Amino acid sequence: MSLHPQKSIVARILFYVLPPCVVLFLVSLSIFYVSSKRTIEEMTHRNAELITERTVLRTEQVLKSIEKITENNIWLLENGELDEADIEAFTSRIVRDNLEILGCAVAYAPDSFSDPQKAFTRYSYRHLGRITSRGLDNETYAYSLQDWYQLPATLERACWVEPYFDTGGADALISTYAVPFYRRTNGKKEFAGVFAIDVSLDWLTSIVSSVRILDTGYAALISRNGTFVTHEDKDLIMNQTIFSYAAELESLLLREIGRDMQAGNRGFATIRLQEVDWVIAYMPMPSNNWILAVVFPKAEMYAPLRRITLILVVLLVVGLGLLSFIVIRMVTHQLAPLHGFTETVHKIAGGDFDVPLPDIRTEDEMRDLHDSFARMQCDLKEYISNLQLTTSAKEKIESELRIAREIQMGMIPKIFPPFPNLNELDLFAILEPAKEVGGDLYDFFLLDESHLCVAVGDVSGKGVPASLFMAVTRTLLRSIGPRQSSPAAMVSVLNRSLSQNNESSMFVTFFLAILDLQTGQLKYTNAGHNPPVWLHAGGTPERFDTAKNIPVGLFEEHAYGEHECTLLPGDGLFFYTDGVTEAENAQKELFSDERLMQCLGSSTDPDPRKVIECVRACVDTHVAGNEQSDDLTMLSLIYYGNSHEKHLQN
Amino acid sequence: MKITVTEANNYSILDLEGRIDVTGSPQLENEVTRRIDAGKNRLVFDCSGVDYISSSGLRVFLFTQKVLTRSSGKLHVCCMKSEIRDIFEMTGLLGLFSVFETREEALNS
Repeated sequence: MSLHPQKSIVARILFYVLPPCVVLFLVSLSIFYVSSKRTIEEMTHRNAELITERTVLRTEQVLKSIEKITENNIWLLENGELDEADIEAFTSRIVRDNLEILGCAVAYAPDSFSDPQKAFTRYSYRHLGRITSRGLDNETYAYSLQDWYQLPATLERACWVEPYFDTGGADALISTYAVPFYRRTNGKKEFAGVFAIDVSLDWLTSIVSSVRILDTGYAALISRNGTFVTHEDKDLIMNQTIFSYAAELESLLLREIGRDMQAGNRGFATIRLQEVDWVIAYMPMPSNNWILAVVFPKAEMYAPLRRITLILVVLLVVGLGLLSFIVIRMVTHQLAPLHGFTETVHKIAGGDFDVPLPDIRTEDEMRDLHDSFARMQCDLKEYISNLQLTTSAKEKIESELRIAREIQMGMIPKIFPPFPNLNELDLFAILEPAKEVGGDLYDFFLLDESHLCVAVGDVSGKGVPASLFMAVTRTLLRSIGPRQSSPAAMVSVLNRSLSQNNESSMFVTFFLAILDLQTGQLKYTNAGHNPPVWLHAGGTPERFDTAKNIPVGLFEEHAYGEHECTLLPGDGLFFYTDGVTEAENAQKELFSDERLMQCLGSSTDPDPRKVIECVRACVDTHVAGNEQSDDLTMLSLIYYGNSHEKHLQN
Repeated sequence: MKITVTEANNYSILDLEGRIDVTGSPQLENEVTRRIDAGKNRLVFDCSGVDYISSSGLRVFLFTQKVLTRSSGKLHVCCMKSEIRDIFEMTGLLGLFSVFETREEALNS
């Protein structure tokens, strides 16, 4: 089966059904894809925000608990009269009571301790499972220049100091929470020192690291300065700030994001780093203004959508395949009888009219087609059998007509020259019926040694009736001839015989002449026929101006007269029927008497055969291939005079 | 050929148009036979529209003349063009028919 759309119905149906299906499906798929994508984006963003908020909350809880410890204990420093031992006991106790605290320091401003002469510091910390205390003030470590002291003293409020990595004892990421404390002298509030707590950030790291979003999404914590506190990439932690990282990656956008983070804003951004699109959700932590950022690759967000889309496309292909299969099966099945019909038609065309039609069990269009075929088969059979009958009948008639023609042609003399021993004259004639048989006739025969009888006739009408009448006429003429010596008598007898019982009024125009070969005397009777032409030797042809007699066969008692003239040696006669002068061309123009006379006048050779050939050629030129409408007869003779004279002439 | 028949002055006038040849003649013969069978025996052939007449046509004229003469009817032929008249003349048949120049003459004699 060819699938060219022009060649099979199946292919055409598929051609028109499949593309709309595909288009419809693709449109639905696109709508689904776009709306799903938007939903997924919204949901993922929301999710990222929630995760960020939750993580911030969790870390805030821990940070708040640290802040609580300082709040609970600072009153002692502000109000108590403490000596060095009390302070060491105080710091040791705090470290001992709070496992999450690695160390605790109290640093008095240089002139504010109870003994104003010296700056007092005390630092207790956990070391090798024991709590150790020492002072911080020595030659190498000027505590009053450290961040943890300077920041709260300057800002006059508690604050989280930038984290650092302790390599001294804790081996951990540490951040310090430092609180300034004051003393009232004379109702006036005076800066007295800083109370600081070192906290391990391991718990914070573990909270942040535990955050997971999508497949490879993670959370990162960034300090107020932009330093990475926690990050998937350990190399970044404490080594890079978001700004140095942005510079390394040459990303202006990342720097912008970093600034927005530092400004304490919440935000959402999409950024392309190292050939991957990332989505970043960030939010500041209220306690220390650090920033929590949740980061995930954008592509992962769409992974489920891609999966579903892929499944749908596979379903589409399978569905279309299934549809095509069903269409092909169904249409092929429905059209199967057509193949049967095609074969049947071929057989019928080959002549087998009894070939059985395909069996149709359904009551649909195929049934109608089947019935029409059956009718056609029946009609065709009948028609062909009728045709065979008519054809054979026609062939029979044609064969009979052929035989009739042979008989008719056999009745007129056709051997030329007819009288080889007769030197006085030469003669030639032709007869061409328009149909198989015709109504023209010519005849010539010797009445005695020196008298030649020549006759030309034309029966009214054509075909079989005319030919029968012609046969009768010719037979009568031959029987009358020898018994009569004058043309008028011969024509009168002929007329009488033909007129009797001639109910159909058939008639013959007839010209009969008797030529005395010795003297050239010509006696003739014209019964309504075209007058012959006298071809004068060396002169202009001339028509016989004969008195009008009616044709023979009409009125039994009509008396025909006769005329006579004398031919000179070398004179000729040209007899013809109206088939010559009324030969028509395609424009219905007749050959006419004028053209005949012109043609005869132009003929230079008096030989009868040449004269007839010449006229024939003129007629052929005139009709120019138009169908011959009437019987055509010509008879031409030349009189040489008696043998003696002829001899002298030569 | 085309034949139009009208009745006037107790004559059936057959207006003949076209060629009275092998195909036209049987048509004319049928028309004439139908008229005669209907009891009409006074006919006028108006030949003003005749372009050509063959021997078959002449035969129908003669046949009509013969039949009508036998039943003491009349056939008048009128309005022949000169080429048609020539054919009648040449075959010697002109004298057998009552020929008139105009239709009025044919109807009033």
